This record gives sequence, C-alpha cells and structure tokens, in this order.
Amino acid sequence: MLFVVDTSCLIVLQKLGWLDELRQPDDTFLCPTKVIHELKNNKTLLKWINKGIVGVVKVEKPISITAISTTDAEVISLALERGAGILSEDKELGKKAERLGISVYNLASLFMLFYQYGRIDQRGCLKRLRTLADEKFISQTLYRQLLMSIKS
Amino acid sequence: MKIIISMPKPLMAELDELKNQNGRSTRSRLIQKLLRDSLAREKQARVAQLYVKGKKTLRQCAEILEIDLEAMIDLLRGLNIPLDDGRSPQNKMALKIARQIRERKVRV
Repeated sequence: MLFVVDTSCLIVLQKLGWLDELRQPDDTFLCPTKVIHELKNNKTLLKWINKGIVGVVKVEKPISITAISTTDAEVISLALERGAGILSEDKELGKKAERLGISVYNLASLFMLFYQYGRIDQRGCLKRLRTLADEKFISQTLYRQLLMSIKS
Repeated sequence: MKIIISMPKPLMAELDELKNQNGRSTRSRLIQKLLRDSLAREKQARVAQLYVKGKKTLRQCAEILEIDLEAMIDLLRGLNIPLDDGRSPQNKMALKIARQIRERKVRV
C-alpha cells in the first residue's frame, strides 16, 4: 500500500522508538517537503528520513483548503496526487482528508492493518496497541474496543 | 504600569514565603511570574480544547501557541488528552479493520 506520512505520526513513532516499523517491503511511505521543513530542529528524525525509508516528495500542485495550514494541505494534496492513504495522528486533518475521499490511518489502524495482512501476529499487535494506549496516544476506550475485537 | 490589589493576610504570608524561598527580589516580580505562568497555562488549556472540540488541527493549535508540533503533542499528553477520539476517521478505520478480521475468523 501507499501512504503519505504526516509529521505527527513520525513524531509518535520516534517517541516510542518505533520508526523502523515503517520498514515494510510491501508498503511505500512518502512525505511532502513541507513535513521535512517542519522537522528542521529534529536532527535524529531527519537523519532517519535520509536513510530513505520514507520518500520525500515535492507536491506538484498543492490544493488550497480553507481553515487548514499549508503543511496539512500538502499532506492531503500528495495523497490525492498519488492515490495514497494518509497516516496521521491528527483527527482534524483526518476528518478533512476523509471528506475528500482519502483513507486515513493512525498508528493503531496501521498496526491493525499489519495484523490483518499477517505482517505481525496477534500478540505483537496487542502489545503495540497497549503501548499506544499507555502512552496516551490513543484512548483507553479505543484500546479496549480493539482488544475485544481481536480476542473474540 | 502600576496597579493596587488587595489581598487576604494568609495569602500575602504565603506569597512572602514563596518569595523568600525563590530568592525573588520583590513581591511584584513574583506576582508577575505567577501571573505569566498562570496565563500561559490557561491559554494552553483553551487551545487544547479547540483541538478536542474539532475546531483546529494539531498544527493550527501549535501555531497559536507558537510551539512546534512535537511540543503540541507533548502538551496534549500532559493534559491527558488522547490525540484521537471515538469519532475520528482513523479510529473508525481501526474498528473497520477489526471487524473485517473478526468476520474472517468467523468464516474460517
């Protein structure tokens, strides 16, 4: 699958020491140049991006969306240009992208997808979801719902 | 600019105690610091609510507070606010995939 990664996801992955979760042979992860500008003070993350695990792409024709920042607009534009899904922890960005017909994922849904495709096992999926909940990146309610769903 | 404020004695005593502990030179400076910190916290809480209520994106909130996105994420975590909520498209996607996994299990 093809994903456009937003800064919020990269930051969360870095905080959890999980950046290499994006090293997937069957998936491609891209981010627009504005996301890189946003990370100018985060040398570790920039160094990791330079390894090429996430491709940096210049957006050809950024669309203009009202009530949204230019970086948010670039993330959405790149997803539309490439027919990609968006990987973002920002629920408001997600809502705007969804209205444009883009599939939106956060790390919880990405790990669910990895589990669905057999890239991680049930235990691995639950462990990751638990960490996301413990670290307050997802709500305990969502964690419990997913937990019940997986275990049933 | 100067203002005159009245204060109950116990509060004044507490203020003086804090002034002595912190080694602040004057009451005025200490009150300025406390007020500045309190206003900053109020503003952070107000902006965080804009995100919770779906009025602003994470980036817009960070821009209002003049902090970067990472600091904004840390601020929400500090306030015990998860990045998602039950109605976010990302959560709906996670639940949709969970449903698909469950249905496949049932079929097998």
